[in-house]
Amino acid sequence: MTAPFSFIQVSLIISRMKVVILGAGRRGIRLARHLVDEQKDVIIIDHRASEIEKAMTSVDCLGIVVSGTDAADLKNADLDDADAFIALTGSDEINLVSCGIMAAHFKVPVTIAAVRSLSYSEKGKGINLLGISHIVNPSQEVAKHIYDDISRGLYSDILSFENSSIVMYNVSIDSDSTFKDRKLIELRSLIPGQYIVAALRRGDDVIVPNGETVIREGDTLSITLSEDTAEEMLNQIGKRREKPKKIAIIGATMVTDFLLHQFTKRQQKHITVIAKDTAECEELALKYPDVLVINENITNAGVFRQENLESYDLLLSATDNDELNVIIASYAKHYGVKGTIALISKNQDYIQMADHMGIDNLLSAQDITVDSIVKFLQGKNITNTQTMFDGKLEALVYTVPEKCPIKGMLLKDINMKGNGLIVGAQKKDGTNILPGGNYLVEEGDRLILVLERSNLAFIQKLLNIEGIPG
Amino acid sequence: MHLRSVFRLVAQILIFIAILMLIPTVIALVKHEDQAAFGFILTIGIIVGVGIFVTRWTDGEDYRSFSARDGFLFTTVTWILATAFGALPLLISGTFPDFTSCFFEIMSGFTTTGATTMTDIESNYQSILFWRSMTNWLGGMGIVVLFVAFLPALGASAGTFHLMGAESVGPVKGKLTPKTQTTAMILWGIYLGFTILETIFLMFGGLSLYDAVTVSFSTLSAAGFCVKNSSIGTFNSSYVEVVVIVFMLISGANFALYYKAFTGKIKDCLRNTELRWYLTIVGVASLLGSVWLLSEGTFSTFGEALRKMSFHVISIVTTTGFATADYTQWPTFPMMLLFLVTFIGGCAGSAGGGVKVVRVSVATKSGLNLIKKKIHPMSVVQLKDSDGIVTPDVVHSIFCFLGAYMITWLLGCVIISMSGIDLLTCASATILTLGNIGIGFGNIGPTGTFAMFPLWAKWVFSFLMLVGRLELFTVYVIFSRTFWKR
Repeated sequence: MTAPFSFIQVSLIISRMKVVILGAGRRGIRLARHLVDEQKDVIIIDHRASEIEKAMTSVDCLGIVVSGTDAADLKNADLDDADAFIALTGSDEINLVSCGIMAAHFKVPVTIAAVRSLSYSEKGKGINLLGISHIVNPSQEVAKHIYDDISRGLYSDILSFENSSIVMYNVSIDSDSTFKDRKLIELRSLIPGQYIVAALRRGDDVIVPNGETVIREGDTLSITLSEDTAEEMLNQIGKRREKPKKIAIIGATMVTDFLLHQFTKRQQKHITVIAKDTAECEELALKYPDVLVINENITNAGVFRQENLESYDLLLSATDNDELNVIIASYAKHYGVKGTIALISKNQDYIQMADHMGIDNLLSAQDITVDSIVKFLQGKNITNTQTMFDGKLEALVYTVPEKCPIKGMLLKDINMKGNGLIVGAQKKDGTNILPGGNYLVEEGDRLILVLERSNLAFIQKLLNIEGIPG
Repeated sequence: MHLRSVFRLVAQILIFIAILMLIPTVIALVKHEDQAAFGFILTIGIIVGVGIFVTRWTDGEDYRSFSARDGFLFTTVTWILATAFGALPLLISGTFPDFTSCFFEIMSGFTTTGATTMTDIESNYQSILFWRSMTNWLGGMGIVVLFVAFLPALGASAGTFHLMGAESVGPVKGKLTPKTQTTAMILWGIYLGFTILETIFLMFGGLSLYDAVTVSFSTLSAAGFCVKNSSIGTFNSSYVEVVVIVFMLISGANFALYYKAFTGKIKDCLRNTELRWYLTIVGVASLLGSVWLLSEGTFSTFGEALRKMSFHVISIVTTTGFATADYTQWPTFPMMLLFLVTFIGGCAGSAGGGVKVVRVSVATKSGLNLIKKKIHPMSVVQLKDSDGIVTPDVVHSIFCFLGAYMITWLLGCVIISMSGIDLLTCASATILTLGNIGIGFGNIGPTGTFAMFPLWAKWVFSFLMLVGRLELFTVYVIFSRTFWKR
């Protein structure tokens, strides 16, 4: 009597990965949306019924009102057989306890806890804390991200990858572009040099192009090229990539602490921290004697003049107050600071709203945390993920392991069925190549792949990546 | 609001319905019912033409940003247009001379009401009767739910939840699985499974494949169309009656419970408050009624009395509307029991109509809580059922629904009374359309039809059936100023 039903059940339910997210806050919903895009089954749990309702109406997921720390309730709600459990509530303790229940009691293979408190995170590194697979410290992730941005230069239309001189650069096609109305394959003869067109954006659609794709006016092309070529190109269009040296950081938060920790002593000599809380300032001054710490409220406009802020290359506004960060970064830009970054940790809609305030880079702490969790879930050979075109496309760096189905194959023989594109590669010896059809995939190569989120499952299968590291 | 996206999706669902219409077309061709076949083919042609035109016109729209508001509009428009196009084969084949009766018949079909204006059912084309029963079946679990289950383009958009929410019944909208599409597939899978099962059981009872399929269509959807003049009574078989009783009972319970049961949580299902209330209501009403019928001498044995009484209690409480006897000739008490369950209906998440058992149970419990609160004004009273606490928001929405339901019924009565037909028939006709039941009292009992009502009244009934099936507010919001202005 259940024949048609069990068929559907077997083919649909069991094949998908079941990810449980604790905490239906903005962060939880954002992660859920990302994972649903990757065709995963997502269940959001929270003890607040109203938040669950909100989550269910905005993401195609299942919401269950249940406490994350009640083992019996979690079992009743059928959550004990999840493939992954991610705790993202605002409380470190709840995140740790629920992950502990899931990991130790229900043997859920992957558990991730967001833990803000530093002492937990330090303990979590290296030792097995409650059997939890991965601990994410949002402040630390944000600091890492800012550091990367600073050390690479600050252009949002250029994506670069760790330890690689390949960059991706976005070009808009306007009415008098030479690329207009041409097939991609014709470009090769028009413009010599080493590059690959990785993706094409047309209106709201993103196309992973092939040689026959015709470029139209209004398209945005994402081109992979080596850094030297890019430098040349950028110089031609009058954009100089300069790494900031003199940096002002507003706010003495944990992010500031983690960030300063990454700079060398020499770099620290060019950094100024301005914060109003005396105790926090004292602590930072003690920890980083090379950093200039100013105990002053930044809302006092006199500080800008007094500290010659116009002479700085970069101002990072990273206080706990989103509104203040936006105002300060915007004002600093007008005051003459070369580059400004504002950190948004609570209301990420500010990123949209503050788009026209002249701030060079608005960073969302939530996005950064979610990205780092997604990166962890994507598999152990994927080391670096970048989103392109408002998150419609992803670029990942995949290191070819010893056992890999595509190892020893020529690029032209790998059938990706239009699900993605290999746009760059770095050999073991560090040489970067923009691969052509005769490129041979070898162990240890780092490949840059561009794909749509919904095709991730296909690529994971092709490369035989376990979706979630065990 | 995303009007163009709504139109685009409506066009696609209509094309989908046109494809389903190929089934009765094949029957018409096989049975050489040329007029009916012509009707179906012409209708399919019209739908596909209109559908392709609208799809072209709205090229480039997508459904990703569908909101709850779009869901209401989409569902209401879909139901009205599906009925209008679904009625065309009846008009073209000459089943009724006027479009109003055709529209009424198909609205009665899709909304699983089962009220008919046909006086001699058996004299109609078999393919037309099959289509009529098929509309029952499609409407039972919901056309939009079916559409969500099978249109891959809707995929993982959060909007699908709003689409299903506007059509599914019950005070709280939920899901079985993380993906809305999977939930829709599971619901339809269970529904299809039960339909096939009942067809097989009925064929063991000697019914032809055609009879068995059409009866199963109308049982599982709690709808009540039958291809025979005297409904289930025609077969005159206690085996068939028992099979129909069991499957009516199944159709009136929450389908989510079957999913739970199949996934090994039978205990949870049996503990379900609504299911217990539902079975208790059915049991008590059947027993009291059959004892009375026996003592009054209507039936000679208790077995027969129980068989007849429980059949009609279940038929009416699940809002199916099958009949095996003319209960309007019974004593008043059992008839009053049947009248009472008219106001209850099936469970939330079932194929049945009415106000739903859960609303009745929550309203009753709130009443009892109020008594407690009157005595101990400072007492803290929480309303609980097997799924946990019923939040004040839900309780509030339930009472709003009950109020709106009663007002709709009473206003409907007033309007219908202008037809000059007697009070009991008017009152009963209004509730049996609003509750999607299909059989009532007075002159529209198991033997009566809606043929006596004037044409304008059929439009009123069609409206009542639609608002009843979509649980009032999905339709009413479309008529509010705020919906269009802000």
